[in-house]
Amino acid sequence: MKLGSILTLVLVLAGIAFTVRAFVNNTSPYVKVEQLQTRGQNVHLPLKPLQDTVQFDIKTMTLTFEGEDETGRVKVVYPKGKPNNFEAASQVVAIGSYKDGVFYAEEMLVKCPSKYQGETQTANR
Amino acid sequence: MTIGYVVVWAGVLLALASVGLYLMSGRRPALRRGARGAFVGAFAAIVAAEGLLMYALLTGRYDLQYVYSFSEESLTPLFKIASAWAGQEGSFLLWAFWLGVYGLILMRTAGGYERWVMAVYGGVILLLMAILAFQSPFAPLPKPDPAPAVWPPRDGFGLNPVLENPWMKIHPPIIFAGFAALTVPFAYAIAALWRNEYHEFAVRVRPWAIYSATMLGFGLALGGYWAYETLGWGGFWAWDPVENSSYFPWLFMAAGLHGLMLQINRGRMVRWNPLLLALPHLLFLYGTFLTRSGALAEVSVHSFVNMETNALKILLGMLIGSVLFTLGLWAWRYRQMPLPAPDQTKGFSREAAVRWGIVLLSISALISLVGTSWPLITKAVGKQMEALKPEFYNQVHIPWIVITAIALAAAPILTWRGMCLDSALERLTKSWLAAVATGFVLFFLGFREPITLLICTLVAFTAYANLGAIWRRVRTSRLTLGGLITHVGLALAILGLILSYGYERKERVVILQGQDTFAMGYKWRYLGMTGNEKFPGEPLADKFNRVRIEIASHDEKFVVEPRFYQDQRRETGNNVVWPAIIRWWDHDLYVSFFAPPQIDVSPLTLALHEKEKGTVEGYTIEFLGFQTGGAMGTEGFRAIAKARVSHPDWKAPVEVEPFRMVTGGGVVPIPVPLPDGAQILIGQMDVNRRLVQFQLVMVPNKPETAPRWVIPLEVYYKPFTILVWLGPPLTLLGGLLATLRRARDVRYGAARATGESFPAPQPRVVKPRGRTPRRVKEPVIAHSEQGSGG
Repeated sequence: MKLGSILTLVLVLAGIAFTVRAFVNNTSPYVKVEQLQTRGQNVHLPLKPLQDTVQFDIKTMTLTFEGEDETGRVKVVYPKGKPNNFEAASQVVAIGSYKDGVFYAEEMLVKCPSKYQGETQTANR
Repeated sequence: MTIGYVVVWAGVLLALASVGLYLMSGRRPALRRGARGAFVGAFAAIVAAEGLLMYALLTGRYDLQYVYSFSEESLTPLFKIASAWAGQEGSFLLWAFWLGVYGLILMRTAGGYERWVMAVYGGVILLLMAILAFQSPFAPLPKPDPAPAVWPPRDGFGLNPVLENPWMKIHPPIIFAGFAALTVPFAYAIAALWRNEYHEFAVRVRPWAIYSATMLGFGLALGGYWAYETLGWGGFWAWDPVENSSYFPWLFMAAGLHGLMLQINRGRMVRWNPLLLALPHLLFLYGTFLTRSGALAEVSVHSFVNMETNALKILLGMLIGSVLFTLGLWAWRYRQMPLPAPDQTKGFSREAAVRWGIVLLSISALISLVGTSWPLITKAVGKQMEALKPEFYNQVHIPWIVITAIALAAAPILTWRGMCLDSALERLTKSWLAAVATGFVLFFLGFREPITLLICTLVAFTAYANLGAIWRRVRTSRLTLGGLITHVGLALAILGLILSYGYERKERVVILQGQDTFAMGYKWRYLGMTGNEKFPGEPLADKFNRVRIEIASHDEKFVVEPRFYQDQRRETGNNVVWPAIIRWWDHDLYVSFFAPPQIDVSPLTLALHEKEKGTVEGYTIEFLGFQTGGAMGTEGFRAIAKARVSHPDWKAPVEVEPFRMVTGGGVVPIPVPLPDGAQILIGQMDVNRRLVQFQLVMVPNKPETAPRWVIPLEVYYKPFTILVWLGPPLTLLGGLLATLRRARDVRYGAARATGESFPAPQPRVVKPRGRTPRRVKEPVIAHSEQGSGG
């Protein structure tokens, strides 16, 4: 084989490896609360927010609440204000990473009950 | 609007007639006139449909579903016209309109290819009109039961406020001009495979390939400007599925036009070009399916309405049918196609650089294609839907852009046949030195992140190398500059995107009414909201509400007015943001919101059971009992808490009825004024336990009980966005120049390829060098040995 073709082959393989790695790092699967310990980075976490745990610090626009699914409960911190209709939300999808017992959400999708069935909204794109 | 249906169905039938007559005109050439007439008729039907829709929008025919959904009385006439492409039906119609326009030109310029090209092309229009026949923009608004008193409605639901801005008038027509242009190379590719003829094909399709890539690219850039100026997340490009589905067709078209360049100049890529040129149209169909069918609704910020079932079936059939037909035809013809000319390059050649360019464009397109389809793929294999984060595309494109920049810089200085490394480097020295100097300047200006700095230097290298080539050629052959100008424009735009994203600084600034805040080296102060003029106390309900903020540093002071509006009519995406952008020559200060402005208040509170009495700060409140008003569970329903309030300073106690009301935006407490100017309202209530929490706000001498606005701003410092605005117009200019040049070539090139006599003057004909390639009969035509094409 010529030097050129070997070089091309190496480049192509490196490119594929790089792409696959970036791919794996950036997919964001849906997980349950009990999986957070093992697979807690970059995930979609569907939760039922417990309305009596909701705290909102208006000076920093930080929303803190506890949410649960059928496998457990977790505290969520969301720094981008309170999404519309959050009080009425029966389910939210928090997108972010888990660290030391707290789920830090970067984005939050709010699903609203009854009237808004099936409609989702992205808070603060 | 029965006439609307008639017009659309007439379009379907005329397109069908045109396709049929073109197909039969092979045996009976006399039929061609009829086929042309039918096509012109189909175009007239499309124009009539578009005209009717605009007329309906302008005259306010709110008995039509489309007009009701996307227009309203308060819009200016131009926005009413722009509503013609706000919805799905309207954008299909716009697509059909541009297809018709190009069809008229194609019919007159396709020469010997007319019959085949127009049959395929007419087929696309036929199917599109069929979709419009089922999902009609002229469908009547369904009458609700029981019917309201006023029918049809006097006013529409209205254009989505996100769309109500000047870019709406420009961006969709241009990008659809690009989308529709993709169909011409597709039709040519199918026709070429059908006829098994690839030389005349290459010459004829070339201006169209360049034109479609140019228009689509410019449309994408306009979309980016729109996003930057109005969406408020501080960037031009977000790798959203809708953006991606116009990005990968564009890349393949760019790859295809470079493939044509290799075929015409060097006799290479003969077999792959028909496939490369057919792909963009197929991928655009796929993208349309992805974004219109609701398949990606969960992972995109754009909102989609599902298509009508029959229309969706036609779209899906059109997509699957054309993909299978194209791939099948290409695979079947593959062994009959002429072999490409042998590789005669030595060392570093332009041919190799262009080939690398094609490979790199295809790779980027494939990655975006797979990434965009990923949610569908995971769903198809039965897993929970997974979305890719936009960061994926940025990471993958870092090494990609390094190699692409080098290829782009090298292509204009290398010769087709190749040169040794030394002389190649010698020619690049000046550009390289200039690029390194630029890198140093950036470094000293404070742009120091190493990978981004490296990429910026390389892209600057591309720009300088192409500028150098333009400089050398500007006196001798001005028409050949198109491709080079395009590449300079692209390099500038990419440089701007990388600098403004890679070196952006952003900070959250939360401003409290009445207090100064310090951030980004400025002092920030909230001045007020203009919406208070129209909606006192509820400024966010004004569509044109501007939040006035004063920004001051030690030597300058200015007021910015980002817009924030909460659309009460829509359940989803009802926060409408329009950022304020202050531009300097070297950077933008971009002021947007990371959350809706909110009211902060610390009221006096008192929780009381029914018939209970309590006192807070001198106010004695007695909770008398609950009442309701309006129908339970509907908008306007009120839960009222009757109360008697007394205060030592007042002559007599007052009875008040504060209530909470169900509105489109949720349950809202409605305050009631007290004699001393304070207001009482209901905080929380529990009807089952007969418990109410009363709140007192605006209490005299208690400033913390007065509501104050909290403005959550997200502020970006974005360097060198000016390059993003300079690049695309250059690319447009270069692309149009190249289109004109290649359109002029068609006459000579086609005549040469078909063996007819030449119109004067005769172009230079170059025999392929070295041994003659097998089965390539015609000599290869070189229009200009130096021209890099575009």
